[in-house]
Amino acid sequence: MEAIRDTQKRYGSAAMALAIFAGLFFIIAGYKPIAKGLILGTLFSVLNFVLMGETLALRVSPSRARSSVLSMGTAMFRYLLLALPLIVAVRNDTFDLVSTVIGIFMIQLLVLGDHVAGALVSRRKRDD
Amino acid sequence: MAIEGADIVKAAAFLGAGLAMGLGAIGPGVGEGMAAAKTCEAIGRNPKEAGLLTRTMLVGQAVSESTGIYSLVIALLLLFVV
Amino acid sequence: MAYDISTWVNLAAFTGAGIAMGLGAVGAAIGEGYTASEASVAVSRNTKLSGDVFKSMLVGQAVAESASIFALVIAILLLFLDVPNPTLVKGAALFGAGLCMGFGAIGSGVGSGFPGGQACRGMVHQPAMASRLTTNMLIGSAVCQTPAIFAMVVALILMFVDFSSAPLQPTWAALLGAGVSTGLAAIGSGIGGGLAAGASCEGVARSPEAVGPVTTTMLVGQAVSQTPSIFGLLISFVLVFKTFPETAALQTAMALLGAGLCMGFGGIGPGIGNGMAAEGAVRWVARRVDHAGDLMRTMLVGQAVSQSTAIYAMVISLVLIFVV
Repeated sequence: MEAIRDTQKRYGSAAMALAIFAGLFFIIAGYKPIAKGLILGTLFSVLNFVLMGETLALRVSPSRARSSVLSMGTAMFRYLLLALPLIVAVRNDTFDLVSTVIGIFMIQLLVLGDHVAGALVSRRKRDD
Repeated sequence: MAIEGADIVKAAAFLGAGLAMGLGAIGPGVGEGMAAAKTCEAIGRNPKEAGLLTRTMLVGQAVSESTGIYSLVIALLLLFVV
Repeated sequence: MAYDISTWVNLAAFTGAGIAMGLGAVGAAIGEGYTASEASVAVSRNTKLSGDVFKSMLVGQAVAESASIFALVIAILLLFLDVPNPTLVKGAALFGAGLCMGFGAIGSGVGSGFPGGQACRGMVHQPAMASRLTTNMLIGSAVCQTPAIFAMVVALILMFVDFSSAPLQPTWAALLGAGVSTGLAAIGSGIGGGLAAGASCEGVARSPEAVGPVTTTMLVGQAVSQTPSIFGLLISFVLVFKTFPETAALQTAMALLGAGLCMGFGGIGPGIGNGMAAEGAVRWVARRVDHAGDLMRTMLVGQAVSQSTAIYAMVISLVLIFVV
């Protein structure tokens, strides 16, 4: 499980760092709701990612039906958690809704950015 | 305005035309995809016959396509004739 | 006891939210279940590699889950956002938004399970390619998310465009049809894109030297697989943005609803079929790199024929909207 912890630490800390830096930038620029929404969304995105990793070993089973049912259960639980920042952002004007939604996808954006950028760089190297 | 019998028939014909073409497109779509997948497999095993295999695929797909065309005809009949 | 309009609008919004979240989670669960069971098989073959397999499975699931998180966002917006001036047309639009997002997330969720599973399986065969397999899996499942993004765009349009001046008859049917059209068509494209991506992970593991052609064939195949959902999006846009004159006739409403259903169901088959053709081509490009050109050509011809059924469906939809 060491590998899972490493991946979680890597993307989780990168996502939080990115959100806090972007948040500071937005606060300085005077858009406080955007900054708060982004940080709130990212916090829950990281939390969701950590929980996904923790429940990973539980869900792995040779039976596809069993895996699917367990995935469904843990996913429902995690989505209840992910719903919280969205509800807060919809109900509360001090959090910007759009930036909260972007924050919720921060881990996904980072994972994709990391790998796709890596693939593009390696392709360019091969071409040279 | 009261809804009359002829109105309901026309409405059902339009809805039916949509469903006929929509559901009728599922089978040929998947079937033609299967044919193409198997042709790719066959070309992979025997690349020299690529031309013959592609022709065979097209014939097979044309037959599979005919069910899609039946749906199209039925849909057009429902739209314009009924 | 008579219910006022805002009760009906809330009811439609809540039902839509339930459908969006329920169907979205089912799709993700099927996909993740496939990945998890393949990972279990892979780990049992070679326990030493469990770290690599789990790592790649974790990032894969994070990306694969995006579709159902889109559904979550739409469901929360449907539940908690205030509707400024509720009309029955708005109620139909909100219900349509829920249907669109719910159906639209199924395909992407199921589809992005295939590359995840095949990447885990391939990693055990070819541990040296672990990082490249992860990259291919992520690119593949990211492309699988596009139909869900289309569905989300249509759902957001249905939720935020102001329909208060539109007549109830036949606009309600047009808006429901708009939701169903993109939502159902996205199922096929999502699953089809996933089949192509799964075959590419299998192929990279089988012959690492073919990474370039395999990835190119996968991307072309996936791009063609997305076209049925683009047709669905087109029909949805027409249904949402065309203004329909008020009419009490049932037949106009049914024609518009039928147009949405026709394009929606009609997109499922060609989407899956295009994906199957791409799956076959990608799998055999990996084994016979020297014939990649022949295979790509055959795939495109086969996909074009399979596509024609989606085009028939689009023609019938356009006739139902514009002619009848």
